[in-house]
Amino acid sequence: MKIEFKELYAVHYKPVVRFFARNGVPEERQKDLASETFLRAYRGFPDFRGDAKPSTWLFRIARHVLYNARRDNQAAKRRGEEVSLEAAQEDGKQFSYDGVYKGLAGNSSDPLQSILETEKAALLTKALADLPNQMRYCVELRLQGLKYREIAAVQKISVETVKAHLFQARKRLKELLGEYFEQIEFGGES
Amino acid sequence: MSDSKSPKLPFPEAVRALSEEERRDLPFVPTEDALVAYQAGELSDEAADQVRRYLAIDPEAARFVADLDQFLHDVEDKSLHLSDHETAQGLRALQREPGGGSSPGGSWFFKAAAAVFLVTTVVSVLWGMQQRGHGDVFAGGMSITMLDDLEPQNGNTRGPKRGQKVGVPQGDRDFALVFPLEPRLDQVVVVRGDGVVVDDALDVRYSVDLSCQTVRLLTANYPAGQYILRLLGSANRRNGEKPQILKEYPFEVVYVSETR
Repeated sequence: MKIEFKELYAVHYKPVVRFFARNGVPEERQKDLASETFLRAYRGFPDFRGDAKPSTWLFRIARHVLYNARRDNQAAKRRGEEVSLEAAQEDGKQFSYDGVYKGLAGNSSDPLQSILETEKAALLTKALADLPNQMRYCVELRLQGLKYREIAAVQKISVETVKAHLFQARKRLKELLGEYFEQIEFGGES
Repeated sequence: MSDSKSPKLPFPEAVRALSEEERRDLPFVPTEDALVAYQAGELSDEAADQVRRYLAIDPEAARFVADLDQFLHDVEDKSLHLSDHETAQGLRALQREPGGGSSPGGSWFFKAAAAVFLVTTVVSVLWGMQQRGHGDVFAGGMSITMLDDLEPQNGNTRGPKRGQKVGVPQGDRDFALVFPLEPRLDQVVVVRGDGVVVDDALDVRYSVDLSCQTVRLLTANYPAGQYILRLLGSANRRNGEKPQILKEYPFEVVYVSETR
C-alpha cells in the first residue's frame, strides 16, 4: 500500500503527541519531540519500503526519540550534579534489582536473619508459581506499574478479566503471605 | 519455621526482584519485531505464550507493547486526525526545520545532505567537539571518536581507526564512542579495561535513521589506559552459558592537560 507523507502526518501527528504525553513528557516538550519524530520520518520516508505498517514504523521512531530525550535529560542532570564515581556506584546499588534480590534472599550479616529471608523468598516464589499463569502475569504487570487497560492489551484479555484476576490473586496471596510481606495491594489508578 | 515477627518485606519490590532474576535466566528474549508481531496477533500460539511470559517479567518490553497498542488505537480514532489546513501548516513548519529540506523521496543528494547534517549535529552540537590539528587528540567540550571498522549505512561517517588513542582533556566529564550497530533488546554494552568501569555510566543511545548506536562514557571513570568496549549477546545463565561477544572495540584513553 502506497502512502503519502502528508497522509502519514495527518493521521499520526496527534497520536504521536499523545504517546509522549502518556510517557511523562512535559506539555511544552511534547510538540518538539513530535516534530523531531516526523523530521526523522521525513528523512527516512524515501527508504521506507512498506515492510512494516506505517503506523508501527512511526511508533518505533517516536519511541527512539523518547529514549534519546530521556538519556539527554539524564546526562544533563549528571553534568549538573557533578556525580562522583563513588556516588554513581552507590546509585547503582540503590536501584539494582539484583541488590533488592540479595537483600531479600540471604544477604544479611545475621545468619539467622539470612535464613529467614531466604525462606521468605522461597515462600513468595512458590505462592506466585501456584497461581494460574494468566493471574500471575496480571500481578507482575500490575506491579510494574501498568494500568488495567494496559495489562489487558499486553495479555490480550479483557479489562474485566484483569480486574477479576487481581482480586483473586490479592485474596490468595494475602492468605499465604500476609504474615511475611506488606503492601499486597494492586489497587490505585485503573 | 519462619518467624513472622521479623520485619515484613514490601511485596511489590520482592516480586519485581524475583521477576528480574527470572528474566535474566530466560533463554528466550523477543526482538522488537517479535513484540510488534505479538501485538498484531501474528505469532503462533506457542510463540505468543513465550512472549506473554516474557512480557510479565520485563517492564520495558511490556511498556513497548502497551504503548504500541494504545498508539494504534489512537491512530484509528478519526477525531484525532488533523484537518487539511492543520496538516499543511504542520508540514510547512517541518520543512523549515534544519534538515527538513525538500519533499521526501527526493534525490540521493538530499539524503546525503541530511546524513551530513546529522553527523555534524552529533559531532558539533550534542558534544561540542572541536578537533585540534594533531592526530588523535581532541580538546574543548567533550571529545568524540567514531569507530569506522564497520561502514555505516549512509557512508558518510568516518573517524579514527580501531584501537586508536582517545585524547581527553583534563576536566572533561565525558566523551562518546559512536559505532554503527542495530541495537537489540537482548544485547548488552560493557566496557572493560585498566580503570574501574561502572556500567551504569554507559549512556547507550539509539538512532533510527543513521542505524548507529552511540555510547557515552563518563571519563571520570576511565583513567588513562587500555580499554575494550564489548557488545554482548544473550546467554542462558541457568546453563552456566557465558554471553557471546558480538563485537569488540579496543581503545586507549590518554588525558591531555591543555583545554580550551
